[in-house]
Amino acid sequence: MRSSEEIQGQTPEEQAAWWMVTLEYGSESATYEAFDKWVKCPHNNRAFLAAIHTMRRVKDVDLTRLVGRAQRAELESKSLSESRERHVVRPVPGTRLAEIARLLLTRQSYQRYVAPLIADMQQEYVDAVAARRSGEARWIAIRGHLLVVPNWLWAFAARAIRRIFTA
Amino acid sequence: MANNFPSGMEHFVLALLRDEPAGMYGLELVAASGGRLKRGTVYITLGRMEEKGFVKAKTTAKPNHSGLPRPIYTITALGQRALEAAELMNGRLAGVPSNA
Repeated sequence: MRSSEEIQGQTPEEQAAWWMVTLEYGSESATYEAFDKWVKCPHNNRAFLAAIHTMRRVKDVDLTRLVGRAQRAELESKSLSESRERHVVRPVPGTRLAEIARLLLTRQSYQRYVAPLIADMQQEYVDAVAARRSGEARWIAIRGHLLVVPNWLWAFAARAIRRIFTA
Repeated sequence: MANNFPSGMEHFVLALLRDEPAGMYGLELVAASGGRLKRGTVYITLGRMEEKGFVKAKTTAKPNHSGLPRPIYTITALGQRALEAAELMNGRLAGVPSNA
């Protein structure tokens, strides 16, 4: 009998059929673990449930156990992808401020006076969030935005002074 | 013409950076300064020193988030010479005989 590695190049439908035959009569725990991993992929999950549906029409077998396993894997996979989406969509504070500063200031002024301050705030914020100190993280974001103001003004003043002396 | 001699605060920052050849982040400088440097103005001082050529900012690895990378500051050869000159002058002004 082939192993789960050998069917990897095949279509999800072919793999689904193989898994169904393999698991129908019970198998080792390692095989079930491999199946759980495989069935978490949405394509594989759909193919497997479709294969079970087809099998039920042609053969009177009890596949409830396998259906439950596939549905549980689908739910786990969905909640995982949702949490990943939430993680990716949310930008760290200061991202918009950095974009505005980059538009209004010269490249040099932005890089010397404003960007390092925003970078510090973002690093501190991420560290606080990772340590589950949400109140402190919020305070870091507010303080960071306020601290940018004097640096921003200095960046403007430095440019004006440079212009006066180089004129 | 720009004044290329380090001010008191710049002298202090150069002395801190000389002790850390690998460089320091702005907030590390604030922490090591014992209250002399403030987090709101440290980058104004460092930016001015960068303009004078006393320090060099280098952004190293990509951060572990989607934000900006933090620059790390190191002392340059010019900064080293400026620091030595300032220490020599301070020593002479204080009446302490220098070793040089």
